[in-house]
Amino acid sequence: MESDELARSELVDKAFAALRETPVPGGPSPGVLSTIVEAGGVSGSDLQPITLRTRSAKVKCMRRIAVAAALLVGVCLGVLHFADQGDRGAVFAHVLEQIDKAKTITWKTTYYTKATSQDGKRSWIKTETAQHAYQAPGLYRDARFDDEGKLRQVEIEDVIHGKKLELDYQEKTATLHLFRGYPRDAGPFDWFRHAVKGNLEWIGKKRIDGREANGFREAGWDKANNEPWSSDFWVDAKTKRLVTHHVPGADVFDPDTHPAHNNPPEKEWSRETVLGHIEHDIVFDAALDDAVFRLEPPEGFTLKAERRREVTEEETIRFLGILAKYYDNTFPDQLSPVAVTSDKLNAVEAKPKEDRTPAEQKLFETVEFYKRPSPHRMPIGRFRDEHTAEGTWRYLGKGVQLGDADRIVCWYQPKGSQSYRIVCGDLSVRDVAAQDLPLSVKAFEQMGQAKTVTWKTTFYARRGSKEGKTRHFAYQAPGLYRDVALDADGEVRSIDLEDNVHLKRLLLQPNEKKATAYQLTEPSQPPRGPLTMALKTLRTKNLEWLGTQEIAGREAIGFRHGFWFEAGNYHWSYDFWIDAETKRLVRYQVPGSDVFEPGRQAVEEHGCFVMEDIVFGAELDDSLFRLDVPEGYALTAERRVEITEEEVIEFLGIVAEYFDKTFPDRMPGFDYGEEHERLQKLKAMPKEDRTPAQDRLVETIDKYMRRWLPGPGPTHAFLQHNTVEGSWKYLGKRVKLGDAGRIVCWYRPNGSETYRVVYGDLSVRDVAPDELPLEVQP
Amino acid sequence: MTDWQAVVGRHTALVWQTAYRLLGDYEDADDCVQETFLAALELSRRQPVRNWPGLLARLSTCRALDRLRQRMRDTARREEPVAWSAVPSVHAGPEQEAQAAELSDRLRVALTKLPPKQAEAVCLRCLNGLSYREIARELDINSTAVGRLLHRARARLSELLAPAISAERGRSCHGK
Repeated sequence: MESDELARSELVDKAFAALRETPVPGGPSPGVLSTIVEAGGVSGSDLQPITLRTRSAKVKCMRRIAVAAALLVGVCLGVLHFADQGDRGAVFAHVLEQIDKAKTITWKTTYYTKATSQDGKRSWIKTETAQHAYQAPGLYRDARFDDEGKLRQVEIEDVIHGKKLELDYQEKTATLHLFRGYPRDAGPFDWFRHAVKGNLEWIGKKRIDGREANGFREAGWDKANNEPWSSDFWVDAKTKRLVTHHVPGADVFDPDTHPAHNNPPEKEWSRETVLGHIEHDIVFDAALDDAVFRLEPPEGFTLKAERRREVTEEETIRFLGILAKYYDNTFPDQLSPVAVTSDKLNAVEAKPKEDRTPAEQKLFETVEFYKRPSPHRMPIGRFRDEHTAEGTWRYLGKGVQLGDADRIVCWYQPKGSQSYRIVCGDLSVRDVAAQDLPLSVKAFEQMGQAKTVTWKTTFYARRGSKEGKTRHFAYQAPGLYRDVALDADGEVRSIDLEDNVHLKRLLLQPNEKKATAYQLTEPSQPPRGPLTMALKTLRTKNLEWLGTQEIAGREAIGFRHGFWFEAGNYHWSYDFWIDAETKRLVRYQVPGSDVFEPGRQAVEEHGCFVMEDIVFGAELDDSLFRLDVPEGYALTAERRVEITEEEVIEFLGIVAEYFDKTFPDRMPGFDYGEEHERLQKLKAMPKEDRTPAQDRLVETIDKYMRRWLPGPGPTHAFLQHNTVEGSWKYLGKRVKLGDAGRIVCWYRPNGSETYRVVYGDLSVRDVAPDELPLEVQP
Repeated sequence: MTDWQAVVGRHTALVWQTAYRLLGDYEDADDCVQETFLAALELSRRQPVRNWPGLLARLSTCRALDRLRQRMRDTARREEPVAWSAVPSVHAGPEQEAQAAELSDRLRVALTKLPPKQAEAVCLRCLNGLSYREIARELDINSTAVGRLLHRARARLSELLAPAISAERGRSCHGK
């Protein structure tokens, strides 16, 4: 019985959920909106009883839209925009579903080019329409026509199996190209998936082929050409089908309003400029005969089979040189994911040939050459995938000048070869043994598997000071760390012993003969070794060659991994120095010296640390890592840090107070970026200059820092230890402190079936999972 | 002085979604939006409106429920089964969606069988996400009464929707 009651109750929730998720069309009709707005325009003195109009009255009203246009246009656009935004998810979900499920798609593309007359004084628009067909997975057919509408050329391509048949209907020839296929094919309308992820603008409604459609614009800035860029797509208001796709959008190019759209064409032209294209007549799941995609020439055609062209090492290296010339004789910062963005290539293409530099022209021609048999693959990627042993290709060309014989651009191990090939900045190539590479796979293995590591770390953390503090470390697998701090006289000030597997910590202070035992809430050091992440970065990321220098009397080779840290909005880097002979890491600096020069520069916002004297596999006595209290030491046991829900909720309130009594867009970490910087500035301020809210935040974060908690404040530790993983959801954006009707967050405590929901007034309520206003991951 | 254009601009989505979800029909929802806004405008001329979203959520819910009830009466007069299946669905196809649509239809029918206040309260809570306090303000009752209304509404709805449980079970058995 009970289960039946429960099932009934659940059914009510389920039914409401179904109703809430009902896809809602774009919004009320313009006629209704005009009626509503018009009603509001009646002045108080003219006030008449408002009569509700029926559907037939609405039709009349729609006819009056033009009369009320001045009043309505602005507001209607705003209204519809808003209304459509609400429906956006459902509309797009439906289009995406069509795209994903379609077994076949047919569509047409009309290409627009601007032709300029021989004397350069007149221009007109040329159009060409191509027909396309697609069959999942990976079969494409493109048909082009001549001016009289006769079939001129057909291309049939199987991108998965790497075959393309070109049919020339004028010459009656068929050419079969073979190329390396792709394991997956996203289909011709995959752009839609990416477009709807971004910010879209609703651009209005219009009738296309007798159907009402909603238009959306994806807009941005074309950095290469320094001009606006956009694309528009139109979705049938009723069926939610994709109707057209305009590239670029009508704000950049509109074939109906372009100044040359009515100009008469001429026979001779001197220049053609691509204006854009429109995809239209899109039909999902069109009935198509398999023969449409048959990679066999029709009767009467002569077959010219072209063997799959292998990309040679020579042409790969030549392409590296072409890239370097394009980048002012410097090799590109990276080859992956792309060495030259499509924006840059488009910018080259958009220039008249005579305006392109030789380097641009050469790059353009080369890319075009390689695009033909295989539209997306450039020679380097193909060479790497087809001719080198997996995982052996390393690119280090960033900053290398073309012609520099002493700098390495890349290396790789050809398939079946025992040795490696190194390409230098002068494009010379030489064979080297694996052990002679600056970075050795074997050395990585040895470092990663070392049972012990010893090193010293100098921390540069005191703001305004150039001085660093050095501590001596030792690691023993698994998870044992020993951290020895010395005072100015070289005497041992403290020994910090940690067992990061069993989460125990013992702090010894010899001067005071004091021992303090802690239970850790989480590993404070990587249990698998101190350099796990550093080695991973060194092994897998884009690196820049820093040259060589002597470290502790030995030659070391430097590498840098630099990147833009999005969350903090600043540049960051890691410097690695590798012993030239042993190939082992001897020095590791964070951030690299392009950001901070230790010892020469006073610490500002970010501290720095340098790990030096790194020795892998040193012989160490087990007793060094034993968490035993030495004789004569007084032991104090610190209780395991327990964070209560009350503490977390109090902290949420303190954070909201700090952000002007409004909960922030996301729960701030205060550990990097602007929040961190602001907090540091607050800390540096005299207490009396802080507002009470600022002071309370600083004091609270300090209080929790003293408790050795992970992350500033209690939230992180609480979520980690007291709640079900993944159950925390923060919804506090713009919620006012004190607002009992808005949710700030929820989470499920360990062992609980229900969620705890925290409201803006910091009240908490128990809620069953299916009662939550948003879906929760099971 | 109310900036009526701004009110319309800001809240059309709320009213439209409430109306469409309850009615599942474009034309009816269109009419409901018009009725709601015009009723709200009339009201705003008589007294100041403090909470436009709350008012519009209540009015659109009331108007949509009125229409649902009217539909039920018309259907009963014609002695025809409720043509819920004729409600156009832009997501036709997958079984889950069909089940969800069926459940929505059942809920629409069930809502027409609740006393008006219960139906309004449960819709404002479960469809529009209004808090107890907001519902109390809109329906001019106290929060305890809201709780009572909601409890009764849920109990009645669970009875009315119960046949769907056996249908669901049947489906899952066949599924195996």
